[in-house]
Amino acid sequence: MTKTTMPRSGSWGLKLSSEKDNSALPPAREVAIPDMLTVLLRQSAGAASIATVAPGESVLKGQTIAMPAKTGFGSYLHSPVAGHVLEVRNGSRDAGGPVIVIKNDRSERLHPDCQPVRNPLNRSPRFLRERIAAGGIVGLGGALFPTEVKLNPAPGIKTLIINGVECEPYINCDNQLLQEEPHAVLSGAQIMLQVLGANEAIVAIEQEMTHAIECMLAANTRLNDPRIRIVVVPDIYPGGGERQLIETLTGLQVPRGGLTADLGIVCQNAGTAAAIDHLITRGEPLISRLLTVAGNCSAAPANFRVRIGTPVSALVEAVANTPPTRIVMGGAMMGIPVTDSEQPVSKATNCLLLLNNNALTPMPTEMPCIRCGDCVPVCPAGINPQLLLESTVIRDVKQSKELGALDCIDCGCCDYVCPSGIDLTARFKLSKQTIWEQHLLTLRAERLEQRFAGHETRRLNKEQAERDRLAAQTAGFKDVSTDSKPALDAMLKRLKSDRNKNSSDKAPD
Amino acid sequence: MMSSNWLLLIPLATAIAGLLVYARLRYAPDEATAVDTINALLPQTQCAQCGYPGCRPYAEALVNDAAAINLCPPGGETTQQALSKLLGRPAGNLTDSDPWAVAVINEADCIGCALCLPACPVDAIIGANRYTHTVVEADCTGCELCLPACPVDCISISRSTQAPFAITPPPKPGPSA
Repeated sequence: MTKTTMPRSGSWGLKLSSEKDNSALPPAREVAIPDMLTVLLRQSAGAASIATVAPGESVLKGQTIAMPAKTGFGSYLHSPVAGHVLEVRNGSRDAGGPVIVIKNDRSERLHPDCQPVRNPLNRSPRFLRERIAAGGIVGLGGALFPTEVKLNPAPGIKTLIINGVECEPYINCDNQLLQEEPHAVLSGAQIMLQVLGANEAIVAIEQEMTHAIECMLAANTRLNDPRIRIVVVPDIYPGGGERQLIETLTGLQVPRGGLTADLGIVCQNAGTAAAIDHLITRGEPLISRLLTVAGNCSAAPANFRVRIGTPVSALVEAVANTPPTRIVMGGAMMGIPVTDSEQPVSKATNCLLLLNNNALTPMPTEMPCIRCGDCVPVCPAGINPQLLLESTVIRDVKQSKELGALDCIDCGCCDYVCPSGIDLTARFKLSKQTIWEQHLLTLRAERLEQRFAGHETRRLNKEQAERDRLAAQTAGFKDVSTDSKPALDAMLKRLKSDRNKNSSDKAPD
Repeated sequence: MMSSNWLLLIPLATAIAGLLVYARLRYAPDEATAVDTINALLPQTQCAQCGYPGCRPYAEALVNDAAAINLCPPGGETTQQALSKLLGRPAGNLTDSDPWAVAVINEADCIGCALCLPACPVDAIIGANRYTHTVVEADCTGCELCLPACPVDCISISRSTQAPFAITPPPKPGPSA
């Protein structure tokens, strides 16, 4: 199989030091499975899932413990170990919702439902999609979008892109996966091609990941599926963004407010492809993932295969040689600080950075925007960040929307280049939140208006019916008073004659 | 010379005046559009706190009867400012109401009389005669109109567990990590 190398497209993005080892990596390390695991109920792009187990109930490894909420974009969750449910409670602030706490009994008994699918490439797309949903597979690139939804687009998908572009500094787990299990990634791609009915798959890998490229090329040659190609893309951050990668590979831009499916493309993370392969060919639901632990407090950067629900503290214990003062979940650009060291690893956790003050530079004092325009060329979403900053500061929701606030992918490139040290991305996140809230309030108002209109129509109809009924009842009286003068006269006459008759009848008494 | 120039302006002025009169008649703001515009600014809680039976009736009253613009607590200051800007009238005093308020039926006390059902302007109460009723939280606007309808006072107002816009925003794709 040949490889293609794509040129750099556009001026967006940054060339960052990758801070990772791109040569052959040692096998992923295991970390001892803890006694207690905490599974977050919110592990998909939608609302928190609903627990289907109660405290005290015993569970087996791979057993379904939560189902998606009705509002959509939710996912099934599975027990990472065998044991019993200790509690279902509200989590800490970091957890963003309720959690299920499971006590590990160390028996590792597997739930009987965890069965592989035989001959998956002969199965119907619908069957496979339902399996993928039931297996709790979500986008492992970080967005946690339910894979089953993404694999069910409008018809006309031609291309599947497997995203192996791990562009953010420090994060190295997809690199590990592409080296260790290239066949699983390719098999997952084949299954997704079957689901989508697409006729080509492109596996995109960053130029720097030289050993991973070799492993994938070798595996692809062995598999010999003419539909699958390996393509090398330049190492530019954030070149692994879904829309950015599509632009690099095809030269096409996904329209604002549109979907990649509008271009006939579906993009999936390499980790997701491997998870689908593990689910379909081995019967394993998504209960573990690869993650990188790096930072100046770890002895050496390393990749671990961990069970979902393992607390961060267990990994810190296994790796840190000096106590970290700051733990970041995610990479150097987009990671979020962890405030609670008991916060568990979720399906989205691809990296933990253990840092102390030697690695952290103090936040610069924010200075006013000088309109230098440095943020404009680096923005991968084609936004003018300095203009958007203005409309965000004056809370002009309409203008923020017009300037493309919703296209912002939180990559942080503008923050990185800003000479005034302005925290632009944080403001844009807030702006996006406000736009959505306003949008949803408008939707709610429309729904309520409709309901009120229905209620009023029904009330008015009922009142009209009541008036009609009363009118019908009194109809007789009206006739007497107006139209039926002759009839009335005749009746009076009859009464009179009757009375006369009666009195004459009575007379003989 | 001067006077003849002046005279030349007369037909021009007449033509412009004619055009303006035509435009005034042709593009006069029509009442229905005005009501729709105002209605779109109102929060659609249908609470009747303004003294009109719902949001659209209040919008109609604002157009026809010059009703006061500070009568909408659910819309709060935002709505009042928008109305003030649109209608060119000064804002008055207004206390915002709690957008998180929802009605809750104490099911132990509910006698299933169905009297609160027609009182709800958005049909957010479900139930039938001699069956316990309940409030559909997602549709309840916390307008309190069901409270006086209940003969056993089993309805109370509490704070919702979900924000009034508590539908999760559709996810946006981010850079793969």
